[in-house]
Amino acid sequence: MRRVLKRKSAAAALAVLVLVSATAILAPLIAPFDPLEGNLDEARMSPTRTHLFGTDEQGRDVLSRVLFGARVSLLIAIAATVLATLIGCAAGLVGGYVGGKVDMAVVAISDLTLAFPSLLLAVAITAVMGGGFHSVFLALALVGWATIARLVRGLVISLRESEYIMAARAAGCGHLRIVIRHILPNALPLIVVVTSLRVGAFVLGESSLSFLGLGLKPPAPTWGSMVSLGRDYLHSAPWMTVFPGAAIAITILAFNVVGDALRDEIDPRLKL
Amino acid sequence: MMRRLIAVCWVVALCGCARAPDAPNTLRLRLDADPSTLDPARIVDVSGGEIAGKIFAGLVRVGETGEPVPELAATVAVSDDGLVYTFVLKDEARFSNGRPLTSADVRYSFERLLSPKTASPRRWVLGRIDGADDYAQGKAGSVQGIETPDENTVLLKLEKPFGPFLSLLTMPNAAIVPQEVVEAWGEDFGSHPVGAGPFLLESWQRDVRLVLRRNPHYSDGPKLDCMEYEIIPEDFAASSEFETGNLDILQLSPADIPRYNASSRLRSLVTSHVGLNTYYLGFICDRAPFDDVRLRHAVSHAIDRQKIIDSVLAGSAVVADGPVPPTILPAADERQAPGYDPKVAIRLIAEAGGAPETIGLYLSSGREELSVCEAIQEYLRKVGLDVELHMLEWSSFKDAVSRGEPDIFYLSWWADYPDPENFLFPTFHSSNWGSAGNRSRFASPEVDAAIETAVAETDAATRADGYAQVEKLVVEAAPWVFLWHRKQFVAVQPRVVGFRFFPIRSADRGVQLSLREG
Amino acid sequence: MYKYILRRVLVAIPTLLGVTIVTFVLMKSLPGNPVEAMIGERADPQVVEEIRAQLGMDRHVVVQYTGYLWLLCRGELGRSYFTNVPVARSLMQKFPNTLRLAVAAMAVAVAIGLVLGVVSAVKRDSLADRFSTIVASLGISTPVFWLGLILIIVFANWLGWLPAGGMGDGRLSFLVLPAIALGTRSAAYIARITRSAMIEVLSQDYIRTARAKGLSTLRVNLRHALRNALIPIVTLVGVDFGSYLNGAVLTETIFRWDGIGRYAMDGIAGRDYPVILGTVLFGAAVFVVVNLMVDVSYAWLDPKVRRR
Repeated sequence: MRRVLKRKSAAAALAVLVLVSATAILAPLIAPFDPLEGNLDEARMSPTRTHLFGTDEQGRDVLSRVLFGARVSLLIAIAATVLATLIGCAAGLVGGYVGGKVDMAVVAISDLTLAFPSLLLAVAITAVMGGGFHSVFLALALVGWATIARLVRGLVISLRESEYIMAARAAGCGHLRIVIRHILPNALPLIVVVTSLRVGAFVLGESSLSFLGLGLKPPAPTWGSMVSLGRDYLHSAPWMTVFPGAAIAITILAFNVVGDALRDEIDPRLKL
Repeated sequence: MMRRLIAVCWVVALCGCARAPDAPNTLRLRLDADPSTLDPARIVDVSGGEIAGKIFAGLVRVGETGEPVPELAATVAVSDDGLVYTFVLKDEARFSNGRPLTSADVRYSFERLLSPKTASPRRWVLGRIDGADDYAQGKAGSVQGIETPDENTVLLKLEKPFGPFLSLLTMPNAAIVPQEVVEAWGEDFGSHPVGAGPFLLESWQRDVRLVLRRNPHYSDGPKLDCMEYEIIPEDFAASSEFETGNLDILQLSPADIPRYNASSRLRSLVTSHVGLNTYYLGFICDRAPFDDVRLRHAVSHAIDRQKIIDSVLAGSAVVADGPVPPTILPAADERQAPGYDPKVAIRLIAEAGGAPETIGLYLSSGREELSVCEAIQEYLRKVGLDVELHMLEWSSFKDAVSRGEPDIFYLSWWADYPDPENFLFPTFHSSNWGSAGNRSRFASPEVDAAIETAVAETDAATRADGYAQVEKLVVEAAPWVFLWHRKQFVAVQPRVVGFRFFPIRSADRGVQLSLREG
Repeated sequence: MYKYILRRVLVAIPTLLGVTIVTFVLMKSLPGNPVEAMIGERADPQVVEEIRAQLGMDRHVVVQYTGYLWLLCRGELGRSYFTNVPVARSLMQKFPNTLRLAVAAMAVAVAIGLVLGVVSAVKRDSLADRFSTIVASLGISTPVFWLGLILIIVFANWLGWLPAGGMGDGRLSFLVLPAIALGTRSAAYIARITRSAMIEVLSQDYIRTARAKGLSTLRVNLRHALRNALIPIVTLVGVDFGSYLNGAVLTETIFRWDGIGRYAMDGIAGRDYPVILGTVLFGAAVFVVVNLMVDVSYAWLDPKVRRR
C-alpha cells in the first residue's frame, strides 16, 4: 500500500476519494442549502456566488444536491461491491477448488448471467423489486458478481495445481484448512484489485439506473437522475447536467486510478 | 436463412436508412411517440389519433366552431324524440383506393368496433346505439340499431336520447374502413391502413418516420402534397430540429417556453392556445383519509396553482375552476373552486381531526410530472401534511391507481370529443369506477342524476345549463383538486400558411395547411 | 475447425434456454399490467378480460411458457402486445441500425485507441504519454449518457457542426457523435492495453537485436510490439462489440437512434412481454455468436491455440 502511495497519480486519486467520501459523510454540514427545498422564484438561475453551481427547475441549489448525491452513489456502489465480491468469491472459490459438477454449475450460472445484456438485466431486476435503494444495489450485485467469480475461479484453479498446495494435501491437510489458510491468502491480492476496479463500474451502473429513472425515489438527489432531469434544460440551463455528470466522472476516475495503481503493484501482468 | 440475414444486415448497414429527398410542398412535423397502431378500432393514443385524423374520415367531423359537421354524410337529421339519426352519404365519397363508400361500409366499420372478436377498448364510442351491448357480448348476430335501407342511407337508433352522440361520432374510432382491405391484411391492417380521409399512408418506418401523401379521391382536397412526421421522443432534440429549420410546426415543452420568449425571432413564431384538458390531483374518495370532504378542500386551498404554473410550467396553463375547460363550457359565475389560502387549509385540517399519517401521492414517471409533484409536496408540507411521492412507470402507475392504492394521484384528462360530457360522465359517474375513467371512486347519487338529465337533452343550450349544474355539484364535492388547463404553445415556421390549432389532435384533417412559395 | 464451431453452438443451446426461463420468470414478476397501458383512459373491465384472454394471459404460467417455446420452434418470436407488429420483423428493421452504430463505434475505438496506445508506448514517460494516459483514464470514467449530452451541447447546439440526433438520411454526419460517445470507453481500454502490451515487449532483448540488425523503428514497433497486444485487444473488442450489439440503450435514447437497445427498453417499460423475450433471446444469441468469433480469431492469431 505504501508503494502505491509513492506514485503521484495514485496519491492524487486517493486524495480525491477521501474528499468524495468526506463530502458524502459531511454533506449535511457543508452543503450551503437544503437539497430538497426549492424556491420557485429562483428557478434555473445560472451559477452565482450564492449558488456556485446554479439552481435547477425547482429552484434547488445544484451544489448542495451534488454534495448529497455523493452519499447515494458511494453508498450504493460500496454496498453493491461488497455483495458482489462476497457472492463472486464464494462462487469462484467453491467452483474452482471443488471442481467437477459443482464447478460446471458455477460456470453455467455465471455464463447465464453474463449472457444477458447487463443494463437491461439490471433494469428488469430493479423494476421487479420496485426501484429504490435496495433494488438498485441488489440489481447491480446480481449482475456484477459473475465477472468476479470468473476471475477468482481462474486463479483458484491455477493455485490448486501448485506444488505448494499439493504438498499440503500430501501432508494431510483438510480441504477447508487448505482453502482458508493457503488459497485465500494467495487469492487476496487479486480479490483486492478486482474489487477496487469494480467499484467504479458500480458507480457508473448506479448512475445509469438513476438516469433511466430507476434509482432512489424522488425528490432524493442522485447524480444520474440530476443529469436526466437536466436533459430538457440543455439549452437553457446546462449547469443542471454538467456538474452532476462531472461529479460522476471524477469519482469513477479516482476509483479507477487507485485500482490501477493497486494492480500495477500487485501484478502488472493482469490484463483486467 | 442466417447467411441471408447477415448479408441483409451488411447491405442495410452500408446503405443506411435512406430518407427520400425533400419533396417540395411537404410539411414536416413531429410526433413524440410512434403510433402503436393505425387501426381505428384500436387507437387509444394521441399520436395514433393525430395520424388517423388525416387518413380516415367519418360520418361527421369537428367543424370550425367545435360542433360536429357532416363529412362523409351529405346530410344529418335527428328525429324529434332524439332517438333516430339519419345520415345520407355523399355520392362522391370514396376510399383512397378509389372504391366508392356505401352504407354497408358504415355497418361493417361500426360492427367491427363493437365486435367481441375485436376486443376494442373504445367500444363505448358506439355503445349508445340500440343493441350494441347485446352484439358486444355475442348475444346477437348484428346490431339492431344500425339500419341501412339503401346504399346511401344509414339510420342509427339509440336506446335513450343522448345529446353528445354526434360528437362521439367525430372520433377516429368511428371512422369508416373498407372491409376487403381489413380482411386482406388481417392482423396487419394497423400497419397498412386504408381510409377515406384527405391523406393516405405512403410509408411508415416504425419509431423513425411516417409519411402521408394527398388522397386524390377526397372531395375537399388538401393543398399539401405530403406530410412528413419525424418521431422524436426527446423534447430537447425536437426543439433543436425546429431551430435548424428541419421541422415546420412544433409544440413547445415547458422547458423551451422561456427560451423562446427570450428570443425576439423565435417569439414571433409562437402562438398559445388553451387546450381541452384538465390536470388534476385525484383523491381516492371511498376510504380514509380523503373520504372526508374537508381534507379534500384543505388540500385544494394549500396549493398555489398559479405559482406552479409560472415556475414549473413556464406559464403554459390557466388555473382550472372546475373539471370542464372554459373553452367548451364558459365559466358560470357561481363556479368557484377553492383558491390558494393556506390558513384556511390549516383550519380545515384541524376541523377534520388533524393531519393524517403520511399521504401517498402517486405519479407516473416523467420529468415534468416529477417537478410538479415536488412543488405540490412542498406546499402540502407547509400546511403540515406529510406527503410521500411514489413515482411509477406508466403501466404500474395505472395499475396502482385502478386498484385504489394511492391516497392522491396526479393525472390529466384530455378530451376525446369536444363535448363537456367527456369531462363529466366518465370521470364522476358512479358506474365508471376504476379504469373506465372515475379513478377517484367518487359516487354521488345527486351528481349521477344531474349528469343523466343533462345528457338526455338534445338541444345544445339546455344541455349546457345542465352541465353547469353538474359542475357546480362536482366542485362542491371536490373529488379532485382542479389544477389547471394546459395551454399549448406552438411554434410555426414563417413558410407555413393556414395553421389552425385543434385542441383535439384527431380533429385536424390538415386540409387548411399550405406552404409559401420560395 | 467446423466441429469446434458446431460443438460450441450445441453447448450454447442450453444457455439460451436458460435465458428464456430466467427472462420469463423475471417478466412475470414485473409489477404492472400491459393491458392497463394498452386500453387508454376509459375501458370497461369486460374489455380488459377479453384482451387478457386473447393474449393468453389467463392461462397458467407453465402453459404460457411452453406455448412460447412452441412458437420459437416454429421460428417465430410472437407479436408485440402494443403494436401487433411481429417482433422478428422489428428486430430485423432495427438491428442493422444497431450494427451500424456498433461498427462505427468500434472503428472509432480501435483507431483512437491504437494511436494513443502506440504513441504512449513508443514515447514512454514523455508529455505525450502522460497526456494520453490521462485522456484514456477520463475516457473510461466518463458516463456515456453524460458524454453524449455534452457532445450534443458543444457540437450540435453551440457549434452547429453536426446534427443533434436521429439517423437522418443515413449520412455519415449523423453517425459521428453517437459513435464517439459509444466508442470512447473502448478506445480508452484499447489504448491502455496497447500501451502495456507494447511496453512489455519493447524492453525485451530480441527487439534490441532487431534494431541492431537495422530494421526501422516503425517496422519493429508495429510488427513485434503491436502483435503482443493483439490478443487482449481482440478480447476487449469482442466483449464490447457484443455489448454494443445488444443495443447501447443510453446512447440510442440520447441520440434518437432506432436500435434494438431502445426497443428492448421500451418493451420493458411497457411490459410488452413478447418484445422483452424476443430481444433478450436475440441479445443472448448475439453474445454467443460474438464469443465464438472471438475464440475463432484467437485460433487464427495464435497458432499455439489452434493446435489444441
